[in-house]
Amino acid sequence: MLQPELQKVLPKNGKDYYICLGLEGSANKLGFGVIKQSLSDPLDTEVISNIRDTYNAPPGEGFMPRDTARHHKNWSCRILKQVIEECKEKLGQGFDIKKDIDCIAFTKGPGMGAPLHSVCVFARTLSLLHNIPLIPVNHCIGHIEMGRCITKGLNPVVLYVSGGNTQVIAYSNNRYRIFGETLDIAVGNCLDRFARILKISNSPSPGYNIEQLARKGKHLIELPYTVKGMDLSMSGILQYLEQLTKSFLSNGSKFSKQKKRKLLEYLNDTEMIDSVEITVEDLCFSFQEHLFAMLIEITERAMAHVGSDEVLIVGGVGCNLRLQEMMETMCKDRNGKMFATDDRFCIDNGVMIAQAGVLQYRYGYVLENLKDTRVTQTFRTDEVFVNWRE
Amino acid sequence: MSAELIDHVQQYLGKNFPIKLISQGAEALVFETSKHPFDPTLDKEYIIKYRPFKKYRHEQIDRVITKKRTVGECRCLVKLSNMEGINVPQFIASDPHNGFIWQSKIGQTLKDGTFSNLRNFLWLNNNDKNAYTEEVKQVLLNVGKQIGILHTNQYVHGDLTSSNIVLQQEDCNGKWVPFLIDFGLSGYSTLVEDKGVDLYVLERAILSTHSLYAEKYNEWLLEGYKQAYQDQEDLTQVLKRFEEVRLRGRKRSMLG
Amino acid sequence: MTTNNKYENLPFKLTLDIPFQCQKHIDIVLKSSIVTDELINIDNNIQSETSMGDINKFVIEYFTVENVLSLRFHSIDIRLLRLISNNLIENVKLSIECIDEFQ
Repeated sequence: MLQPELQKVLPKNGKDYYICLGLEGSANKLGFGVIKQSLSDPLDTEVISNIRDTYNAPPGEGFMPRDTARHHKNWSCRILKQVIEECKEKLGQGFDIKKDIDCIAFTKGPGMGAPLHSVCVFARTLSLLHNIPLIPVNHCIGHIEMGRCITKGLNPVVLYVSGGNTQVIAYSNNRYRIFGETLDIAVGNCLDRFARILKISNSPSPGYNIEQLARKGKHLIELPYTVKGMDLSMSGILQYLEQLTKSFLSNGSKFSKQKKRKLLEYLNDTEMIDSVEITVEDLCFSFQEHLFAMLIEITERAMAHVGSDEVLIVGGVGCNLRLQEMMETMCKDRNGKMFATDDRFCIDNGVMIAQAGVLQYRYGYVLENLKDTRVTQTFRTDEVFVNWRE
Repeated sequence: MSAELIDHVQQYLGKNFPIKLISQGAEALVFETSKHPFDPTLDKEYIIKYRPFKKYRHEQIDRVITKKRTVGECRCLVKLSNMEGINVPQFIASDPHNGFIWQSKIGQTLKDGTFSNLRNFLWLNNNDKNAYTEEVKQVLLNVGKQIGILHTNQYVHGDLTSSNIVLQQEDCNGKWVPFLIDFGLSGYSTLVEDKGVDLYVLERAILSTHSLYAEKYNEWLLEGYKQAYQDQEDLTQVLKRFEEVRLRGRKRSMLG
Repeated sequence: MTTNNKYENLPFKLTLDIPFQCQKHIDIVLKSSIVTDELINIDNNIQSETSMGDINKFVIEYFTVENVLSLRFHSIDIRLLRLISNNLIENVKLSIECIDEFQ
């Protein structure tokens, strides 16, 4: 069902599709993308180009705003050149920014101020240079709209899990409403910080490396589990695990006999407990099992509450196969369906910003004052009035 | 899937035990039965709540959580039923290892045929004409008061949503009386923080589920909540923390 | 460096002259990286045709002479001067690079 208002602004040069350039840089990933969206169906989107470069901090460190912003500044021009090359290959050698791009979308927030601002300056320049309309986009909405593109118009409950966000979202009355969220830190942040204590590499991402280690884990250690209604809290589990890991590391990467007996007490078999060692892999495994169980639980609560049986996972942590597997199991038990995307679209990228941006654009969004492009670190998902959906 | 679960429950209770599934929430299946678990002279109407094994989570995590929540809920029901002014279902029996609780039946059917929890009640009145009636206002004031009494007795609910509040109509005057249910995440707590979070969780649940009229609803709930407090100093502290939790939510930096 | 009596209370100063190809590019750079955002740590911005900032802390004056953009920074302390000018130069650099590559 296409709303007639969606045609408020028509594509340039009488085409039957829009071309939009999306620029994303709210955290340590710089991603530019170009999409081609059909005039007749806003969910019919073809990805023309999707290029990303990630700034990785050294092991044991998190990425700092200044360094990340510098990375984005250094790479913006190079990445855009690559994007244009790809556009020329796919859309014809005559491709030209000024002539062919309908609008430029960029991330207004939420995210880190300095990196956001770098990309924003770049977007403004490009827009002013070629007189192309500029569309500020909410990062979370970008994730959701990209996901909707993949699920083709269904109305799923969205679990948005990334380095900076942990939210359970569902659409109603022109807003993406937040049903559940973290009361303290985000799940990705939680994983990153754990990786830092263990000095696990930040490349390609700390979460990915934890996932690989967790696969080899066998013994589960019980950790705190904090769900409050449809919200959850993760600082408790992180704090507990931090202490545990520190004593583990200072003891030569193993636990004392006594500690081990206590941690595995539930197995009720002292002899067996004494014969096994708890490893780094076990710590990762236990951590993931607990964290993800909490996430699935609040998602299921939201589903039951709104009466939906579809789930979509978006955000960087959404690439985790164990999380997807658990979600799949939960959905099967509810006779529901799970949708997830691979790392091309799960991890922050420019395409999703383009997708959300072009929706705003065709519904008639016009930037009235350049000051509206100022970036903001805190920009809640439910602040955006979603006028492109019924 | 739910057929499989119902089979399991039927097997557990015995083949001829009369049960009827009335709701399947995220955490539990809720059945209605006319039989008392062990005393046939008390056969009336009861609710059986069953927390099934969640396949998605590790067996050990599931075992711990199911037991903890079932035991916790039973404890709460017993404690709260002895408390002045709080309406909760009566606790009958339980089997924490298998995740079963028996309790007295509360609630009824609303005009539109749905179960009389607060969510359905508000949805039934979800139009400009009915949303702000005196009836709705009184219900919400009383709900707020129930939560206030809970908190002044140093208990927190942990999962306040409009579906976890059940309304029952009094025979004599037709007034709706709210009951709190679902105490799986509840517990004793003297911390101001826990109470603040409790209020925040409820506010957000109302905001997301009843968004059109949420502002007024939350105002009434809070008004009722305040009425329950004798000690204004305690109240001020809780409300202050509530505001802080809310601000934390809004201003939370989204940094990686 | 020219002395400017107007901002006597802001003793630390820096002048930056940036040559451009044309007036349009100056306009783009001004809008994209100088006048649109608030200055770091300064919320209380005064803004006129040719200046921005807070008269008690930090002011940037800007004007154009024959395709040269002149920026004058007036600061209450050296730290703020370093911080803001550094940041601003980085942004202007990015903007100019973008214009050069994609015009």
